[in-house]
This record gives sequence, C-alpha cells and structure tokens, in this order.
Amino acid sequence: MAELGNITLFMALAVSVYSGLGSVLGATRSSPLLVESSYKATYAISLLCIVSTACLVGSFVTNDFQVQYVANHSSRAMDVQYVWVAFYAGNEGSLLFIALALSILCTIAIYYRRIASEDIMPYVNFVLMLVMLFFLAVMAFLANPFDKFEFTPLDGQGINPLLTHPGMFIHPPVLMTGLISFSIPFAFGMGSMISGRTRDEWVDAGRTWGLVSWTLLGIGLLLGSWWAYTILGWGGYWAWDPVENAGFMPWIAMTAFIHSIMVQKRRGMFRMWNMALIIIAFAFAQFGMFINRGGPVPSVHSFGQSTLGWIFLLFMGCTVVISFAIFFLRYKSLKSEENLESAVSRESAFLLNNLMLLAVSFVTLWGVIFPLISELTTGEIITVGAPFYNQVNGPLFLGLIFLMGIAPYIPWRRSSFGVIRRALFYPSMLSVVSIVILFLFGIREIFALISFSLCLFVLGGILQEWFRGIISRHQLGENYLVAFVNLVLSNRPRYGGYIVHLAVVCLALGVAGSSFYDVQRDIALSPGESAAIRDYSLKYISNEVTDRVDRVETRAVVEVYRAEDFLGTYTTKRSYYPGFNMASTRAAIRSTLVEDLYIIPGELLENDGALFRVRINPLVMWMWIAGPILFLGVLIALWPHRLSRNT
Amino acid sequence: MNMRNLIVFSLLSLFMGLFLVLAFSLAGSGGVPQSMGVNNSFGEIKIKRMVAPDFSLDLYDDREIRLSELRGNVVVLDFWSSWCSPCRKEAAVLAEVYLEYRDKGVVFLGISIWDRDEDALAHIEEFDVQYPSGPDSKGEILVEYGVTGIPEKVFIDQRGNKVRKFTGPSTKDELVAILDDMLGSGY
Amino acid sequence: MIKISLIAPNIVPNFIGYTILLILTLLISIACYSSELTESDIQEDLARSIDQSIMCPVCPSETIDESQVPIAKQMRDIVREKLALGETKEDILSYFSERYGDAILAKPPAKGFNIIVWIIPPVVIALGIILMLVVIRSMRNTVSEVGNETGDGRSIELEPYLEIVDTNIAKLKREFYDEFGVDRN
Repeated sequence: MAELGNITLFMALAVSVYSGLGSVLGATRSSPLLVESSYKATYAISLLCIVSTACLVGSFVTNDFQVQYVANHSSRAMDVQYVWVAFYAGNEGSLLFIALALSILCTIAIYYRRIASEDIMPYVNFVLMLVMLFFLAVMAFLANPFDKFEFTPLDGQGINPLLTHPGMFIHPPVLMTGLISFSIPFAFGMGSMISGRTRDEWVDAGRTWGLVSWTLLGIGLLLGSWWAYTILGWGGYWAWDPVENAGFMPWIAMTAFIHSIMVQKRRGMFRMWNMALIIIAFAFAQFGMFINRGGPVPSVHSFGQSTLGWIFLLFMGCTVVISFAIFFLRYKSLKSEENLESAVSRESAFLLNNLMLLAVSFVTLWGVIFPLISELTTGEIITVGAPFYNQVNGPLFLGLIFLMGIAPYIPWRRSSFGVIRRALFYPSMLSVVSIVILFLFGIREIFALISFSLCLFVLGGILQEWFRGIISRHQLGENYLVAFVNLVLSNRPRYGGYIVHLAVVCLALGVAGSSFYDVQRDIALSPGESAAIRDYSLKYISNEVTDRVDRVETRAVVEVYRAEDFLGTYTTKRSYYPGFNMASTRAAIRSTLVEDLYIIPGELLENDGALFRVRINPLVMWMWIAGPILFLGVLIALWPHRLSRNT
Repeated sequence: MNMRNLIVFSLLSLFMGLFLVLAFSLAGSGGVPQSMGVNNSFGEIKIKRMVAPDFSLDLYDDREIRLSELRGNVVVLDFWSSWCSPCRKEAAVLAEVYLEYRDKGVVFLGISIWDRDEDALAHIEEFDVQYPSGPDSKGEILVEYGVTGIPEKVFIDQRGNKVRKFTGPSTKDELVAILDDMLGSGY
Repeated sequence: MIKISLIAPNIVPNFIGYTILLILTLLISIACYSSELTESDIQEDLARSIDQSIMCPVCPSETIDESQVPIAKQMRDIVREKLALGETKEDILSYFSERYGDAILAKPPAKGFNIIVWIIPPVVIALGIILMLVVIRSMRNTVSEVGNETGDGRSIELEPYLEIVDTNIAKLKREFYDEFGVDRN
C-alpha cells in the first residue's frame, strides 16, 4: 500500500510540473486546448493526492510499521479513530495533508473561475502549481511519509497523548487548510500581474477567496482556542505563543485585505495596495508554516520539530523577492486613476483600518523575532511574552473596534464630520450610558470600561442601521421579518459584514471579560471538605483511580453550590502517561452566558486529598458564540448571486 | 521615481534583515529548540563567580547536610531525576568519578528534583550511588541556583564560591578535566 | 404589537434595540461585578500578577501561572512565601531574574539593548500614520465639497444603486483609459 502512495506522490509531482508549464505555454501560444488540459491535470493532482492520503491512512489502519512514519506516530494500542490524527501528527504527514488540501482548493478555484477569469486563469494555475510543486517536492525528496525501514518493528512508538482528543480531529486540519488557502487569492493577484491584466480582473476572485481563507483560518484559530480552553486545562485560550502568533499574523493581514479589496471592487482604487497586501498576507502565511515546520523559536506546540526549517525559509524568501520583483515591474500599470475625493470618506477609513491591522501583525512579528535579534546581538536570551503583546496590541485592538463602530457609516467618496456625528449620535449616547451603569456596578478598570463601552457602541451602531432599514421597508408595507430578510438580501456583502462585525464584538466581549476579571485560586481539599471562591462553594466528594494500558486516570468528583443552591456534580479527570512523563487534565467547566466556573484537577495528596485550581472566567462563552455568527456572516456575504436572485 | 527606489530599497533591506535573523538563529538552533527541561547535550552556562548560597538538604539516609559544612572541598551539585534519560546516561559516570575523587577533597551532592522518593531510591540503588543525595521537594535550592533543566551541575570551589555551571550529561573525561582543573589551580 | 407599530412605527424596533443593549450591559456588569475583596484576595491577586510575569524555565512560552509542571508550582510557592515575608513585586522579580537571567521575565525589562523592543512599535506606527497622511494628501484632488450624505437612514436603500453607479463609473473610466492609450505594461 505504501508503494502505491509513493508512486502517486511522484505522479502528482510530475503532473504538477506538466500543469504549470502547460498552462503558461498554452496561454502564451494561445492554445486553449493545452490550457484546458493543464486544468484537467490540476484536477488530476487532487485525485492523486487523495489516493496518496488514502494509502498513508491505510498503512496506519493495517499497522504497517515498516513505514517509518507509521511506526513513529502510532502503535497497536492506539484506537483506530486516532489514525486520522496520527496522519498529520508529524511533519511528513502534515505536508501530505497540506498538499491534499491545496490540491482540492486549486481544483475548486479553477473549476469555478476558469470561464469568468479566463484571461488570467492560466497564470493563476501556474502560480498555484509552483506552490504545489514545492510541497510535493519537499515530501518526495526530503520528508517522504512513505519511507520504509529495512526491517519491520514489532510495534510503533505511539501517538503523542496530547493529541488523542476529539478537538484534534478538526482544529489542526482547519488551521493548516486555512494557512495554505492563502495561496489561492495570492495566485489570483500574481496571475493578474504576470498576465499583464492588472486592472480589476482578479478582484472578485481575490475577494471571494480572500474571504474563504480568512474564514478558514479564523475558524481554525478559534477552534484552537476553544480546544485549548476546554481541553488543555490551564484555563486560558490564547497565550501569544509563537505558533499561535504564526497563525494570527496572516489572519490579521488577510483581515486588512478583505476590507481594502472592497475599495477596489467599488471604486477601482488601491490597486497597488491590494496587490502588496495579498503578497504580505501570503508571506505571513508562509512565515507561519515556517514556524510550524521547524522554525527557530521554542513553543508549547512543538509537535514534529524538524530540520525542514531551511527549506521553508528559502521558500518564503524566494516568494517575497519574486513577487515584489513582479510587482515593481508592473508598478506603472497598477496605478489607479481614481482620486481620493476627501480625507473624510469610507476610502480613507479603510486605509486607517489597514494601517492599524498591519500594525498589529507587525507588532506580533516583532515580538516573535525580537528574542532572536537580542540573542544574536547581545548573546542574551530574553522572552517576549503575553504582557508585551497585551500592552502594545491591546490599544490597537481598541482603536480597531472604535473604527469598526464608525467606518461603516461614513459614506463613500466624501463626507463630513457632521454626517458622522449625526449618524453616531445615539450609539455614542448609549455607550456613555453604559459606562455609567458599568461604573455604578463597580467596574473601575479603565481599559475594561473602554472595551465594554466600545463593544456596546459598535453594537448600537449596527442595530440602529438595521432598525432604520427595517422601518423604512416596513413603511413600504413589508412586515418586520420580511423587511429584515429583504434588507439583508438587498446588499449581502454589507449586511454579511455587519454580522461578522457582531461576531467580532462577541469575541471582544469574551476577551475583555476574561482577561480583566478572571479569578483564580489554588485549593487543597480532603474528601468532604468545602472551599469558597467568590459566591461559589465547592465540596470535594471523592476520587477514583483507574489504571489503563498507557496511563493512570484519576477522576475527582466535586459538588458545586452557589449561595445555598446546588448547581450540580462535576467530574474532573487527570491522566498521567508514565511513558511520556506527561500529564493531561480535563477540567470540569460550568458554562453560562455570564461566566464559566472552571475546575482544574491537580495532583492527589495523601489521605485522598486533592489539589484543585478553580477559575472564574467571565463572559468567555461569548467567544465561542462568535464562531457560528462569524461563519453565518461570511456565508451571507459570499453566497453566490444566482441563488439570491431566485428568492 | 526617487521615492519609489527609496521604498523598494527600504522594504528590501527590512526583509533581508528579517531573513538573515531567521537564518542565523536557525543555524544556531539546528532546527531543534530545547524543550521540557531535559538537557540533552553537554554545555557550559556562564555564571558570575559569587558566594554559593547556603542551604541544607535532608538526605535519603536521614542525615542532614549543610553546604557551608563542606567548605574546603570542591563541591559538585548535581541536579537530577530518575525519569530523565540523560541523567540515567550520566549516572554511572558520576558514581565512578566520585569514587576516584572522594579522597582528593571533592564532594558530590545529588539533589533530586521533580521526582517521587521511591523512584529516586531505586535509581540510587541501581547505579550504586555512594555520594550523599537528597530531595529538594520544595524547589528552593533549585530556584536559588537558577536550574532550568536536568541534568545540571554546579561546581563550587574550596572557598565556597560557585564557579561553573553545566547543563546536560557529561562524559568521564569532561568531568575529570574540570575537577583536575579546579583542584590543580587551587583557587 | 401590530397596533402599536401602526401608531408609532419607529418606536418598536428602537425599543428592541435599547433593550438588547441594556440587557447586555447588565450581563457584563453581573459578570464582572465583584463583591468586597478580602485581604487574602488582594494578596492572592498580587501573587498571581507576579506569577504571570515569570516564565516557567522548563516549558517554552508558558508562565508559571499557567504551567502545571512541578517547578512552576514550586516557584509559585516561593513567590507566596516571599510575599508573606513582605517583599515587593519588584524584589521578587529581580530575585528570579538574578538567578535565571532576564529570560525568566515574561516581558523584557526596558533597559539596555532590550529597550528597542518597546521603542520600535510606536515609532513604526507613527511612521505609518505619517505615511498614510502623505498618501491621502497626494491621492486627494480638491473637488468642491458637496455633501453626498449616505450617512442618514433614508439613503440606505440607495446604497445598492450607488454601488452600481460607482462600479459603472469605474468601469467606464477604465475603458476610457484603455482606449486612449494610458499604457498598461
């Protein structure tokens, strides 16, 4: 089976060379047939990748330990459902997964845009095939997942216990797919530059795929936080770890892109800027993959470190240099003829938004690489941790939220402060009222007050806009619900955008609540004993220790009361893996819209006592609510035109 | 035109800078950052020469030892744990070198950290460790000496100054060289 | 419901909006409301803020507040012991940084070479703002300031049409430039 996988891998490699060359030759010699055949070749790559993946998964299922990758990441004791996780647990497998995801995305992108973007498509395909070729070649020659031992080991080394969790089934694949999907909008941009059609030919495709990859990566990051929160059991969801930052930076850069591409779509402006942005976003995505695949920074997520760092660094370097070289060759034709009509306009609000977003990704990049710079220049190792990012990025985020509350109501072309003032009178009044209420309730932390009131400000603005639209439609005789639906349908990019903004508000609420007002206590209890934390009280009942093949599981049962009310019985779980000298904990979480009670089990003490870490995380649930809302918003904004016209 | 060249140039140099930083540190780390507090390779950490903080250690054989009582000897503090594989690799070397140097004014002190007593005792039994060993269960000595991983060794001279600090498992030759140097130069 | 809306069509939806906002404000207030803090609460919060500024020496990029390995616990205990002895946050942080080097601190101290980690971000952001102002100035042509006020509620319905107009203008201009020899390559 592994042989077949290896063969299809090399076949995919050959086909990608053919497809890349074929589409360029076909376009330059105007041979539609050759171009068409190279598209077909691209579709074939995804089939080959699927077969190759199936072979690797098959080798896992059949416990073919002669395959080195299988032996290193699985064992006979492993449950069969974790094969999917083990498949991308190491470098070789994740490369195969990335190739698979990329090939499928390429197929979709080319299939749906081959007519609409006919002129630039061969070059888009060419760029995509270069990226494809890179991954396939690295796999084929440097990190082949199908490499075999001379002998067959009796058993494999087993899967990393931290990975054996349901969260691991979705989070890493979505994140990897998100990162690699940046290639598609990038390829559209590059394709339009290479082909010399540098007007707005790529804008629709670029926007659509920009949004798709933004959503994929965003959901991947959010799932990662959710997984960390519910499973990793340290009570947090984001640690500004280098690997997390590596996914965060491209996402922020893409956020800038999906905003500013709207200006090009609408006004034909910012052509150069959008091109530069998509190159930057893609470079950040490559930087992310570099960090993940053997970058020089230590991280809590150091699964599958390797020496592939060099090749990824080189890949990133070449991409940036070549794309900017092309960019400067096409510099003249990228210039827009449109002018900014006023400094107070939607266009300049978008510029400000881009500036701040890029500042956030720059600060994050700076934090990631500064320890390296410091070590190289002074020889001293230092740490740039969460406090740095919070201190520097925090105000930028607040600024962005503020902008999010204003910018959608600034008209295109030109406006005046008077218009903005009138549009935002009620929302700003409301946020002032909310500050007073919050202050009266004893919230005195200045940054918390600002964050909450800004959130309410944005929300007020959005609701006002919606209700005004609904009312004016209602006056034309539609009932409220129909009016709302028609309102959204009348301009889906706009209202989809509002919904995404709502999701961001939810996210901001969760982050602000849990970072300013979390409470944490470490307590030691013996059975029957109670401890109080704020108005909760915890009663430790008993524990139960189970020996498993590879681990020792300790469950501790706790009863939770608030005031005199019994809230329920909760069980925490702690597993110790002697083979890895590693413990993983599963916290008991009581989630409500207001706050989460979070109980992390610690070690057992003598006489059946137990250590617990108890946390109260206010408003965290809003972060997880943001996910589906965000998805819905993007869906509304992106849903193909044809369907909406039918309704 | 000029403006454009300036922008190109500054962007390019910024990117080259970033690229070089990454390349250099990649060359430095070899792509494998250290992790999990286990030091796999031998290396010296530069420390300031200063009086070694005093502490007392409850030994596994129920005695208690104070560092200051050992003044006049070269003292080697070895931080170890039974589950750490480089420590196990090194254990036989330490036991052997100790027997050679115990009469030359050298004292080894094993400080067991992050471990269970029964495992530590089994380790001592297994490698026939003769030198005094004890657990630092509260981690006070550990933090006082800035230990970041195991195995880690601190060398203290006859006057009670901490002089050198090493991470990772040492070989016999390396250990002997350091000890001879410290005894010979008669600090 | 319908009756009310017939009389005062504007009030019902706005009322819903205000209610949503009010409920949310109250929710935040309840979530973040804290009763009187006891002496030990204050002490513990201080200890935690110290924990959060100290990295765990054996686990990459986790503070001792987050980390669950033994040394993190030991270090947390030491922090509390020292606090009980009356040491300040600065004392404790320098105790650790003397022994472990500055790498143990979660945020680099603003001194020596490391000060540039703090200086560069504001400088770059300031440069960015200046650059943006320059760009806006250079992109701007001074047409007479006529208000095109999409800002108030009435013209929301106009938005889609405005968009079509804008897009078409841009398209026409593009074709114009293409035809009359503004070079493309």
